Amino acid sequence: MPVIFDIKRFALHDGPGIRTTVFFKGCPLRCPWCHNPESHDTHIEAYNETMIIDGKEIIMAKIYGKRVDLNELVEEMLLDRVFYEESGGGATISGGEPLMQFDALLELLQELGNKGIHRAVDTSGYAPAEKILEIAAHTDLFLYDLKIINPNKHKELTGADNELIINNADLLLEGGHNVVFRIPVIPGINDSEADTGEFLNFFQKRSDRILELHLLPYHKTGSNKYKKLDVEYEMHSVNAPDEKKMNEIKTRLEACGCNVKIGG
Amino acid sequence: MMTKRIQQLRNMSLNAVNRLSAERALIITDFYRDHPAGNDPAPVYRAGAFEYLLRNKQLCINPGELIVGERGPQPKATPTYPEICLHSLEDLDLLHNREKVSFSVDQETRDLYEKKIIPFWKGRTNRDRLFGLMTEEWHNAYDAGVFTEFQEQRAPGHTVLGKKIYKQGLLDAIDGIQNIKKNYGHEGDGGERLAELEAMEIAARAMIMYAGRNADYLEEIAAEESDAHRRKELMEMATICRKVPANAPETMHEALQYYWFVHIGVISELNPWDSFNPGRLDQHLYPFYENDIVQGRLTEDAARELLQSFWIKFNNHPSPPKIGVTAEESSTYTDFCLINLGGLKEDGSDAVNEVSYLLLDIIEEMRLLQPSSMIQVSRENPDEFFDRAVKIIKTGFGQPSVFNTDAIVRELLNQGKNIIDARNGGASGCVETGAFGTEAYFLTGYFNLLKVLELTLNNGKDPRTGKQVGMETGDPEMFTDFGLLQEAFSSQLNYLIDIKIKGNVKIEELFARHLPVPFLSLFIDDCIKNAKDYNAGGARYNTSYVQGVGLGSVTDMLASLKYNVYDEKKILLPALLKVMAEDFGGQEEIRADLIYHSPKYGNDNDGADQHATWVFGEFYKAVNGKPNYRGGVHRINMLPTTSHVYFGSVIGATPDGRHAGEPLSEGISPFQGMDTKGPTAVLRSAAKIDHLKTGGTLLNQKFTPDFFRNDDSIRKITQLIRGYFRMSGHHIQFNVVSADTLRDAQKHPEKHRDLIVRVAGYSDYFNDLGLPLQNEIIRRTEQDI
Repeated sequence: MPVIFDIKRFALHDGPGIRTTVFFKGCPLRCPWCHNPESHDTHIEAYNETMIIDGKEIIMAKIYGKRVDLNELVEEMLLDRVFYEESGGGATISGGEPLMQFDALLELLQELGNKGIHRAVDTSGYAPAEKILEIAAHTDLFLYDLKIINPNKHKELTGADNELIINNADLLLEGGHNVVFRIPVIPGINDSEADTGEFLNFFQKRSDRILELHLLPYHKTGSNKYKKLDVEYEMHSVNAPDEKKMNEIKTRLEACGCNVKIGG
Repeated sequence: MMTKRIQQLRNMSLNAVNRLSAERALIITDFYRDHPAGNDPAPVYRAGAFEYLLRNKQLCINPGELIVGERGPQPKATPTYPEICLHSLEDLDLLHNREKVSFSVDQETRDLYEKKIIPFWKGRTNRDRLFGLMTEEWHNAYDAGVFTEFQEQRAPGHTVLGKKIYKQGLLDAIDGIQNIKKNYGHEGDGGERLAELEAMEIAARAMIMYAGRNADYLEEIAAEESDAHRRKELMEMATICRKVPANAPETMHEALQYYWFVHIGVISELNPWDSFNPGRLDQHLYPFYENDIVQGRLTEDAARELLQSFWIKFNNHPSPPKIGVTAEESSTYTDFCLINLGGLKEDGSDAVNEVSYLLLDIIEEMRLLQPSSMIQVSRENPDEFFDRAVKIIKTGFGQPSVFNTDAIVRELLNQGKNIIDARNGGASGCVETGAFGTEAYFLTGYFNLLKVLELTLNNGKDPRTGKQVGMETGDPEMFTDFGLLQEAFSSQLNYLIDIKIKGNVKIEELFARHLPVPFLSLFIDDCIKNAKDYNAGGARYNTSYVQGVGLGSVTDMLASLKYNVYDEKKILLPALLKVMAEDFGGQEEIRADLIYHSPKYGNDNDGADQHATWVFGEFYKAVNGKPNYRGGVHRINMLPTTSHVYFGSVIGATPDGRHAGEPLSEGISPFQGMDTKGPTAVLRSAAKIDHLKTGGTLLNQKFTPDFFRNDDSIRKITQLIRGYFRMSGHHIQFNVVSADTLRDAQKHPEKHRDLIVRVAGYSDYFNDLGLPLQNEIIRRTEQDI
């Protein structure tokens, strides 16, 4: 019984075609730019939402997260099958970090595989190697998030070493799995010349095995949720990168020989 | 690309003032006054009136135009039909002064009305007769807003031309009529049939005469024309008007001119609802186009100019002025000519051709309110065609809408039509399925599904007026379980449908007897063969529709009652009714709970959607198969035009959290803002009702322009629609949302819970975004448009 915090249908940016994305709750990283702060904790969290009805403020008790029956989840992920078939889409399991709920993730992927559904897993790569390899056997596409290549900087900002993340990426690539790397581009965090150079170096060494690179411009949409959760949002002063900057990084990374896209 | 003269014609059409013209009313009044009917059978008399009108009406040829024929003396000078509906001086003032859909009325017109038209027609119109024939129960239900009546100010319409005119001229039709005449003597109903045939012949000759008048006038203008090129063109146009409609067309120009004469004839003879239209225009024109190009008679550019000139003619002809309930249910200048593109050939193969693409270009370039346009999409049609059309939808003027040919064909087959007639069919008006060239499918009125439930909750009494409108189906306190409430709703529904259908039968008889349409009858098979008028059941297929309105809202009402009163027992029914009677005054918590915590239609949630399929099934059973006057049956479709606003205005607060007087949901779309699971969930909810049992359903979807930003996103939209069509969905149209809508969403977030916007490489609900981001998107949306 996995704990999830959302299911998004008609997801157009989490892999090919029209997809349904389920978001598993719980993440080992704490990236200050995260737009889904409700994904951090594995537990179900309560919060209050203020609705305005006929000019009057109504406070509603709400929760982030729910524990779902796996069969019911599979059923829900199959509802849009007709649209997956028309578009070459399928199911995406995202988070949080879905590998934190390894058993449920594995079972869900197996069930979806039995039904012939295309499966994408959106991961931070921060999970034990043997687990990610076991998941890979039941995954058609990895959306693999890479934040920062420099190990110290990564540790400082996310609270975790990226050695594991990079080793896992290599394991998947060497195993011939389909991997799309996704880089959140965050001004002042990972958009410097040096950062881009490190990314380029990383991709150049592996370019013949990489399916595609996606650059995701940072956005502030999560700030409201931080407020609801009563968690401090540290990124108020950071703005979304402009188009020029995105294109600069794109052009530079294209030198590695991979296809680079802005957006998912 | 538009040539200079097309730009001028288009501007003239756009800038022309919608005004009321007394010309037709005056000519018809003269005819009726000077030619007492005596023993003339109705069809012959009406054919005489038609001939008199075409002989005496002023001609209008606009500078530079290539297709001629105006219904009024100038573009947008709109006639009235006093034999159907007489406008009083107060009506004229209202039409002149009202803010929306106004018609300018000058002093001369007002005087003519006061002195000549009103005195002659007062108390003698079809409208007077119609209301006089209806029962007290009918009037009670009509006044309460249970249903509307399409024919109270307009003639029955709703038919589309097939292939006929492209193969034969009116002289051929007259030959056919004379042959058929030999089959009848004066015994039995032979006299009636001979009279109808005679009337058709008079009407056919009248149109040939009118075309001749236009030819004469063209030659006159040509003689005075200084520009040699235009002079030659005018002479050629005169030659065309002498050839068609008398003879079969041989070129694209002739085919278009022929059609336009027929169009003018049909909308001048009477004021049929949902104006006649050419239907499958790309199919009809392709052979002419191909041949013209091969013969070197026409270039692609010249073809474009011809089609553009043709397009502008439609825009010059607003629907006739409407007042009262008719104005409320159809508050628009649009006369609902719906050009069909794509679809299937008679042999079931892909019908898309070069002209389909050419016409898509015309639609995009002309960007006019009329004619409206749609594409038919079948499994057989290529993505390329579909993508091209979606690129036009992206520009945000709501055209073309998208229809499922495979569903349309099966709907028509379900109704007993043969496969060839079905494949030659399409949709007209808003979304209405029909067999083009062979079917008279009258729309009879909108039916307010919510009012039925409101009456059920009030033991048949209208809470607005205290009047007993429905039957007594029991005090709500007696509905101790949900099944009892459903039973009472069904009884109420059947009682009210029965009133509507009985009225329909009488009204159809009224038109069949007193207002036949011999001219229109020439073009719809098998009126000539049957020697029977279009209005009397002469067509091969004769269908009468009742249009259900408010499916999403009635579903949310029932879902809320079941969930809150019967399952969760959160509130007792009488207590809930009291809150509703007070329009939630001071009960905002309850209202919030009803909005946010009750199951809602449009979220692929069976807890709500089961009520949609149930109400749909009950409505279908109550209507489908009931005989009409013309030898056909009643059927259902699901569309509202603007009646959901009117119907909402007569209903109090409802248990789904809707305020008193607010509009209802439209078509089969969810109630505004209640779908929060995205478009695939909406489409799956909407596909749960059996579209193939209907003659059309209407589904609206909102997107921001950003959803259509590149080829990849456009392809995903077509895939989304293909998915809906695989589930037998009938129709979908896209409302590409504007910045204004987004601003309204900031003010009233509860009304826009379904609004999805693209943020930055991903999408989100607008409501879920913080204020600065919302503002950013509003700004971006403005730029996109």
